[in-house]
Amino acid sequence: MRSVSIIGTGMMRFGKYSDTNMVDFAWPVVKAALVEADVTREQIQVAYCGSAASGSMAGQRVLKRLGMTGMPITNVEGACSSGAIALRLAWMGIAAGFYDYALAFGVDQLNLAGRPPGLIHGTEDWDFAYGLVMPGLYAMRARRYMHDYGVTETQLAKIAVKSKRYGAKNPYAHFQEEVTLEQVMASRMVADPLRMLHCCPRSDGAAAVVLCAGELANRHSPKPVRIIASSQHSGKYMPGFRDMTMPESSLRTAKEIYEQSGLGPEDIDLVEVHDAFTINELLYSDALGFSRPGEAVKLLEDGEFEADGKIPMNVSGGLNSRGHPIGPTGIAQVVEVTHQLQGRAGARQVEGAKIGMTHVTGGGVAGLDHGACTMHILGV
Amino acid sequence: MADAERLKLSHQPYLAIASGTPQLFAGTCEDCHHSVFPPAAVCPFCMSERMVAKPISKQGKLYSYSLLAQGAPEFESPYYVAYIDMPEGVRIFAQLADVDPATLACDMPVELRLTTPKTDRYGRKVGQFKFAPVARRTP
Repeated sequence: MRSVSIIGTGMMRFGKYSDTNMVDFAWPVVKAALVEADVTREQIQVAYCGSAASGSMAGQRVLKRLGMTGMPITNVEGACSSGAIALRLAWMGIAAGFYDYALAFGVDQLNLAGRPPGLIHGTEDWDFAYGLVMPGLYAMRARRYMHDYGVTETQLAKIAVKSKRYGAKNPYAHFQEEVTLEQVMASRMVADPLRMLHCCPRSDGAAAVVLCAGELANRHSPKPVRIIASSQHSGKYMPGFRDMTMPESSLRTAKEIYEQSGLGPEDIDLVEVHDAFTINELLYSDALGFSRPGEAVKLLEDGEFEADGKIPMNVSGGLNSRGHPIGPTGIAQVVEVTHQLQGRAGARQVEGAKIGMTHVTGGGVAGLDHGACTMHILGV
Repeated sequence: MADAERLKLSHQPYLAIASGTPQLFAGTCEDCHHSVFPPAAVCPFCMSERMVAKPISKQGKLYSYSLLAQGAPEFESPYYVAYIDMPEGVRIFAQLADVDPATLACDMPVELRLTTPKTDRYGRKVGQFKFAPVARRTP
């Protein structure tokens, strides 16, 4: 298997772009990744596009604007994991020797999409047909976590305060304003115990990366970022009882990526986890091995999730502040970690970061903890 | 098995109402004895198609819950949602009725109740049942 590196990134501020369409805001992001990678469009041999709410052929619709057609373009839908799976497929193509250069990007425009299509299932999905919505699913995880481990609503609110504080340092973030604990605790209830400021916004946006075979990377980038490991799983169908405080698909994906990389939680300098809701930072800190089950809140209280802490957690502001356009979310995490490892993350820089991790789940399917979980470890 | 027969099994009822009393059914596999809810024509544990309807207890344990301030548009918000663990080994997603927020807690016993159904956007009757906290017996 060949080594694969990230040599170019393209990113935009996530937000509401209702007066334009996703093609118009996505092509500049893709072009920026090509320019940063110092590659011509003709060098790109394959493209993967993650999107969940933009209809059929999102990749072709964006890339034709740049004349990047003719090559294989594969559109990937994996709900919130779409972008990360697109990246993984691009990585596999180069690692296996089929290609030397690949583009992976994600795009969605949730503000025009109505109810996220990835979250609407047919009549066969019992939970969603009978009144479940995504905030409600995470609210039930939060309620059980609080019951089992004594975590309080104030502690959950502190996660939102932290996320918004880092969002304020991130020019790409949808929300760039700090909030107080009181503001979080007074924001309107969405799904008890999760309030508005506990929830990620529905955003529009795009994010892109250019990958190449490791041996070519130094021709294109002064500091290429290597994809050390990549892992993807689907959730296991468990129609019986399950422990909702320990998301099993994240647990299995983390186990595999640690085995693949020969690294452990103690080697990770920063992590971007799928914090669609505040409770997720606790759930995934436990699942990814940064804390023992139920003990993540101690890391939070001790400041270990901060940029200068033991395991900087979502110092981009995470989904909570950067926003969550679905398709590009997984790529945006990878762009953030790439910038961090290259020492170009500005006010939110984790000093001396050498190894970073991304984690994104995807979708609510009755009987599965998630439809998908996708993780990457990057290094310089 | 003929396709028509298989289709019929896929749509076997999960609920029966006899003289105002609701009864839920799981699909139970005659080969590996696992149960699924709602009933299905094929067993996800062993792929056997020898699935039979098995009555589910009226009472279960509240695994977790949430009050949705703004839920799905098909339902009138706010409403409570919950996962309920049944003695037959299935976890059922359902809405809750007759909740006293002050006493609602994980692991409390809840029981099946018949409620007035609504028609969802697929034209199906939904909300024919909910679970409610088991009333404390007065001494």
